[in-house]
Amino acid sequence: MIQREIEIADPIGMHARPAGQIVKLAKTHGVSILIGRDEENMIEAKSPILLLGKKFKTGEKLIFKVDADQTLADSVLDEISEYLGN
Amino acid sequence: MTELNGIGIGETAAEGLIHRVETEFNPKPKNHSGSVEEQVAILKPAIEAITAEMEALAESEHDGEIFEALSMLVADEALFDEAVVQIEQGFDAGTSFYQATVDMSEILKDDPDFAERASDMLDLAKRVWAKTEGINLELEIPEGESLILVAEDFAPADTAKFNSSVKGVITKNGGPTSHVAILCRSKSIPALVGVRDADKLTSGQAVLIDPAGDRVLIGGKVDQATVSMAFIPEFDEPLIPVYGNVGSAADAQKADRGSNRSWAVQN
Repeated sequence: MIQREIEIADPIGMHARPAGQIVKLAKTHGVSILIGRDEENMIEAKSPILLLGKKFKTGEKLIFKVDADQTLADSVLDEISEYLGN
Repeated sequence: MTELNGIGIGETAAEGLIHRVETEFNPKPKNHSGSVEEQVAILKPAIEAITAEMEALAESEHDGEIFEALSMLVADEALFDEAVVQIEQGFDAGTSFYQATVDMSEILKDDPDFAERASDMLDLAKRVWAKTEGINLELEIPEGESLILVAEDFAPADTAKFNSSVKGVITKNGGPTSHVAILCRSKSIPALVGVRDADKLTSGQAVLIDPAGDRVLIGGKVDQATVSMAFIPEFDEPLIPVYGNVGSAADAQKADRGSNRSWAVQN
């Protein structure tokens, strides 16, 4: 698991589009992506609706974990960072 | 002449024929009498069809990103799994998908940032439900006419179908910030939202939609349109030279400082 902290820069938080994009990203690369505010409360990015339900807001620093080798994980995390307005 | 009132969007009035659009699809929850597999086999292609519709709309210039997001929500796996649970309890495919969506949209409803998405999800769920019953809820508007569309409200998937026949839009629900109002403003289509008596309008009626007057006139003509006040300069040089803009006579005396000019006070 490769881990990175990413801040939500998007002014309307993690809304439907980035949530959907992250789920799609996991599916496309066949990797599992875990997201949470802290280590104890991580959810797998499988459902955009459940991600929306977490109500991640602008300025929150989230932990992302990707189950892949360093190169793939880095490129996945870079993408996620971009989806979140960075 | 009958006049109906609402909240006007835009300045320009337009004449047209009323075209009622029944976007409401309100079926009753039903049980199925077959197997779970049969219902899943009905539900899957219906979800896929609506996902494909949204993906196609995502290519459009207006609201492309909204439709991309909607296509992702309708294809949500957790939502599908929840619908299957409902099917296992005995509900048919459409009912199950709708009820699952209602349940899942609850988690978004209490938050103003996401409440709009919750209502979009319910609209999508109805489209899926209709699809399972072989009903197409896609809006079809004839080309080459002058129509004033009337409906309870229009979802993003409806407004995406607006063509050049649409000269005006009237909704019973909604306010100045609802999706259709924003779209009409951006496309310069005159609109009237929150028209409580919209049910009095029948297809084929000739009307004038007069947004500047916050009204629709049945049988109205464009020369009856409310004209916004405008200042039209007729001379390059003003007839009365303007030296200042003041609020009261005392201000004028202060500003004048003994020059003995004439001052007009505008209230």
